[in-house]
Amino acid sequence: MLILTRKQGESIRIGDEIEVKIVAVEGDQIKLGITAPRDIDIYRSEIYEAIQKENSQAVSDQLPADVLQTMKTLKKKNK
Amino acid sequence: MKIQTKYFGEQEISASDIISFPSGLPGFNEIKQFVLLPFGEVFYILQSVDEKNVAFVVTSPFSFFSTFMVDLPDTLVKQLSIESEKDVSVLVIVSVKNPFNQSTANLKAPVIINTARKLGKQYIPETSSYALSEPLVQTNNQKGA
Repeated sequence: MLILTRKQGESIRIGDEIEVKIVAVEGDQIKLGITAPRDIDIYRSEIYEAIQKENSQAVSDQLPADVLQTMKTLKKKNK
Repeated sequence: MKIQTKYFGEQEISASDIISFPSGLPGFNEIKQFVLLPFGEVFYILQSVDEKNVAFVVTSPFSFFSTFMVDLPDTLVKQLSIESEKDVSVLVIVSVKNPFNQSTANLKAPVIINTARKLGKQYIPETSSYALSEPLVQTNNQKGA
């Protein structure tokens, strides 16, 4: 991990197309402004990691036959 | 072509069945080719073409949560080359539990598929009040989504 220090108003370039700017520093909250191409997604890390974890758990389940049977025979609700 | 699946054994699929996920899914960024196989009337299995054990149970969120809504931003519409809302399929990943009525759905990060172009992505909204693990079977409180 590259560690560097920036002051408010300064910014960092990542590659040729990504810029991260320190917009404001208010106590322990740091407001970042991020410029990136549209095809690059930007996430709060804890949210992305929570999705990763949830996906991994969803895939690892070994389901017993009766649970699978319940799922297969569930009917669409008529509204 | 023949593929190995988690819930259906060996299955015959055609190239036109394959849905591309250019970013994979969070936690599975290298898995980029899936097929959607029906599992009864309500569920599907989003099955990796190459990895037998990477198979997600998915369902339409509207089957269980009548008020569920998702707003697709322009960046996502562009990423999936969406041209019409008719081509959009919204699915949510289900974490199936034993007993079944304790199963939950990830409403926080729905899977969006452009069915016309066979492109998909798991969309994580910037802000969402939906749950990561919303029970499929609502209790007497009927909280809904």
